[in-house]
Amino acid sequence: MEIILCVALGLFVVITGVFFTVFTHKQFSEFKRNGGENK
Amino acid sequence: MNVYLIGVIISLAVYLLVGMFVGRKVKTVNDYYVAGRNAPTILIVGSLVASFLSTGAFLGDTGEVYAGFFVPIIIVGVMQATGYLWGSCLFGRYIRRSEVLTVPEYFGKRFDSEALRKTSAIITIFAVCAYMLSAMQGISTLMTGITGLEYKYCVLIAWVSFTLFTIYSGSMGVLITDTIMFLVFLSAAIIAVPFVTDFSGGWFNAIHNLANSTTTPGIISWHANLDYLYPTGAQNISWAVIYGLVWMLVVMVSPWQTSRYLMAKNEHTVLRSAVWASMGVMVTTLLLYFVAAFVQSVNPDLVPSQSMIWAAMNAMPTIIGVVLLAGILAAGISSASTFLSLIGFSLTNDIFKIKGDSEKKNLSVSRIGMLISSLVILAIAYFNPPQIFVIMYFGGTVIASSWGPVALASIWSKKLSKTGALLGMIFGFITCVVVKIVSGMVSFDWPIYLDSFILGVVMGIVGMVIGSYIKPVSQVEIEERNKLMITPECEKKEEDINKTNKVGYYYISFGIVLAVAMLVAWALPYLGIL
Repeated sequence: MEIILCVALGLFVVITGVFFTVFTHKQFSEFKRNGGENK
Repeated sequence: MNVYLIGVIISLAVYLLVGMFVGRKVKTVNDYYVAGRNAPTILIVGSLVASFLSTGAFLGDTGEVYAGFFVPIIIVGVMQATGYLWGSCLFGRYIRRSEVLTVPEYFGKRFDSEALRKTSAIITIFAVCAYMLSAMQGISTLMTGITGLEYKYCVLIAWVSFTLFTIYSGSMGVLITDTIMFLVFLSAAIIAVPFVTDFSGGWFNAIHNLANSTTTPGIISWHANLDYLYPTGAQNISWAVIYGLVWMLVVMVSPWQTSRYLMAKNEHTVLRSAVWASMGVMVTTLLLYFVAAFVQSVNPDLVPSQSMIWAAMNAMPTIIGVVLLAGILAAGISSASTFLSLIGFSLTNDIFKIKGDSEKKNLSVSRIGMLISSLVILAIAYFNPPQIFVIMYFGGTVIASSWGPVALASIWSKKLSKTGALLGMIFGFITCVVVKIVSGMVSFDWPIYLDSFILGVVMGIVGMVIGSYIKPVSQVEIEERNKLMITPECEKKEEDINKTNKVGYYYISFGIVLAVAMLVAWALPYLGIL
């Protein structure tokens, strides 16, 4: 159970990081493609 | 005069001098409230962490660990810290974009409602006052313990130590002093670990002793000490997950966290600061929790909340102990200074909306408002109300349940109207407070699934739905929300975008390192595999 908890906590942090990365890429990649225009 | 007192006095004098020096640069209301909206990542990170971690974390949470609640507090610690990333993406960058002076002003502007602005300001003051009182009590108790001075004198010293520079320098001074204090307590937490580990016979030996503890059985097992809060492991883990969510939401939307984003140089600063602050909070708190557990392995007879103070005075060389105590003090003062500024800003900017006819007069009015607020808090703290810990416990839960759903929906819902937002906040607030009071009065075990936070959030959502049904969204509200959805030109620099994208990968790597570190430092030696 202790091992599962360690993995679960790490996984929660990783999922948060993935959310952040996907969010920022999605938010800003459009500007890089469109030369700074809002969609 | 003992060496600990000298250390405390020197650190207080440094914060005061720095704050007063920075205060000379404050020229406008914008400087005073939001530090000119020009703060770089390092200052936002420092202020985010310093205003979040208080004596509650350094003395309260470590006390819980010492008493046998290691794993639940670790779970809360990790979950709450992830709130920075969720909050910066889903709320923080948008309130930065709204260019307001306070978070209640954001609600008022977004929903075109003075009533909502005042309601959110009143809830802010309620929650923040409780926190500030507890921080002042924590600082004063710590000072009483290490100096031998009477509590009432320590309250006065504590008040002077953060009030003068906060009133004079506003957010500009608070940002700088917060960052210095953050570095002090982060260093203290890091430096304390090897000494306490050595004092308790080495890392693996301490873990082995805790695994076989007879005084606090189960202290570092997954189910925690079953004599402490709940009698089963499942209940203890449920408590941890619920309060992990509460504090995660507090980090995401609370005024003492999100108001830091209003000072950021740009939205990229908001996003990057969130990542570094999250890692900073996790590292600091997890190190402290291990230290508190190790103290329990060598001296199980302490008052739990005194465990870190005892460690500083007994388990390490004097000079390191001075640094640790200065760090704990810094954590308390940094939070208190942020709380005081929030109370003052909410009173003068959102509730009474006092304004002079010039920039100079506006600054004076804000400073007087803050001084009056601080005197009221001083008077209450002076009489040392005994129920303050209970009131403080309200603070986080109240903000999470009353502000949480409304704050997130203010960005992501097209259907939430001003009436919905107002009812959502009021329903969430009243439900949370009433349930807390009732659950504290009944004699039977209050079910964990009926926690004040859960019921508050549910009733908050009910209020939002009813209010938005009674009075749908107006054209002004639609336009205000649409404005928030437009990314400003200054945020579209490729260099900034690349930097922001990178920190996400750092965080993912940090998650993997965290899992491995917890396995090696705790789970495997606990199970006898290492």
